[in-house]
Amino acid sequence: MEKPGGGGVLSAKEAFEKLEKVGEGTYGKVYRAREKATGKIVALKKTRLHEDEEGVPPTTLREVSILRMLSRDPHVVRLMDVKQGQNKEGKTVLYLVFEYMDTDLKKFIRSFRQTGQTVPPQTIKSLMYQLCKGVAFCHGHGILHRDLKPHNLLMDPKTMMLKIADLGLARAFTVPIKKYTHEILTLWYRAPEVLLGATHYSMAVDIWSVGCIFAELVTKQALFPGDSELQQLLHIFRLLGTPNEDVWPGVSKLMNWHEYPQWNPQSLSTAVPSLDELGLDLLSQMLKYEPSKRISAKKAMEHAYFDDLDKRHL
Amino acid sequence: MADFQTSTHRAKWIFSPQQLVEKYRAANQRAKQILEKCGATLMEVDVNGSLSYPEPHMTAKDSAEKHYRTKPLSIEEEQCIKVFYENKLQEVYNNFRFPHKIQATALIYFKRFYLQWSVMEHQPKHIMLTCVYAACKIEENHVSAEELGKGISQDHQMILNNEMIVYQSLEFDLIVYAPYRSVEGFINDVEVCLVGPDAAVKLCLGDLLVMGSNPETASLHMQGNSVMLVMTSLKCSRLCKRQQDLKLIK
Repeated sequence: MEKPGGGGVLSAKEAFEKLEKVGEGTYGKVYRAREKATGKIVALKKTRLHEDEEGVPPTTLREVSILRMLSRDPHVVRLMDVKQGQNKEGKTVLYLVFEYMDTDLKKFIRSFRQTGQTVPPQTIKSLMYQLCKGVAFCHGHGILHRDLKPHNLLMDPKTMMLKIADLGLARAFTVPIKKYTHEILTLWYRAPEVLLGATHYSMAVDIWSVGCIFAELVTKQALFPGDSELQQLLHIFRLLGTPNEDVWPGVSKLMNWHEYPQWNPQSLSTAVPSLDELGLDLLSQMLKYEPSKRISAKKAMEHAYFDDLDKRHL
Repeated sequence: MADFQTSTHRAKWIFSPQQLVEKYRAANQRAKQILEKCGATLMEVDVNGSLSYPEPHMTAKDSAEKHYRTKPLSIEEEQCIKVFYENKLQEVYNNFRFPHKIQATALIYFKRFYLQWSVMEHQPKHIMLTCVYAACKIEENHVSAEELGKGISQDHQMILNNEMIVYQSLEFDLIVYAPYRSVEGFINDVEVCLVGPDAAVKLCLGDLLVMGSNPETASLHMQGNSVMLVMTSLKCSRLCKRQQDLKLIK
């Protein structure tokens, strides 16, 4: 980063050699690149500036400032630098320089689905523990991720190390928790309070997403694959039962509440049959309707499901 | 609440009074050297955010007329200019009726920026407005650069041009802490206790944020809550004094 009075700070073009495009985000492309000085492989996330005459996109700013706080944790992707450069049209672009990770949880699950294999239970346990640990770290620093999904969980398949990435929708939360936009989060992992229009929400939205990811690791299929907000709610209600004031006080006062078809709750084992009893207990605590009753990430780490896991290197 | 104890704010942006003096001196010294060398200090900020110092143009004639040149500012003069613009920032905040958090964040950005640079290198008016714009973005109260520029009759392009240099100078540590909310509640309680709801004496949170006991440095060498405690106790002692004076008059 440019320092006052500093001479030549290398631009992204001078400092890195792009190797290949590995993805595309909301604000630009992601490249695998080599740092010329060290030969180290990094991920370059390119962000266009002055796109709508508003300078650096707020999502990029939020991601950078949050990662400046969180990047010390082994389960949050490390932001190494921020570089400025110019594209072919001479427009200013910003490059976020991240440590490079080989794959993500979405690809990891897909590889098992394609070969017809199941993800080993101890691997699921290890990945879930790391996810809970990373989320607990974010929450402990007052950061909600708001967009947890397999695609945003980077992995090293050799070491089975998992890291939380893509904090473009994350935000620091304050007390009391104020009105937040509910136009966030990929539908399949979206908590029911968000779908029902709650604008006051907190860490529990991330825990719901973690629960959905847990089930998906076991079954290799999305737990609630809705294609609209209504369909998403109906998927949830079919499995967990249609909520009411008894199980979730205040639900009928939420903005998007209507009279929904009445379903009785099913046992979670019908949706996730191969998960053991302790796993089902943890999952049920992550998928509680009432947000305040949902287990915290910190408490989840202490759950008996993780008792037989060797946590020394996690 | 986001954890102050483990934040970049606490780890990197709280300094001893001595460290602050050194930082101000270093920035001032650098600007003076540029003035010697180039005859001007104001940095050019390009549309893409890149920086350049003025081109050196020291001819024999220039050297001969050196003593007619612009005199550099002293550290004390720089501090006065900074405080002036910190108060100006409050006016912008009042015009737009921004939440207190915007004002507090913008102010901290402004103070931090001038830990790295001298006011001779970057125009404080431009930086102050860019800090407000950045604070609006980071605190999710987004106002367009054009709207901000129009509201104070300034060219919004200047705000956009300075945006990157502000972020880089802040090292992208944009999550900051200011105990404005708890202090506001405390002030309300104090007002009611000391002077009753109809009294003319009003404690201004903006004054607390900007001035304090040591306007230039308070938020940089004390933790937010300590700053507020010191400032509020100062204000309260003045209020108590005023109360006693009023009683004596009666």
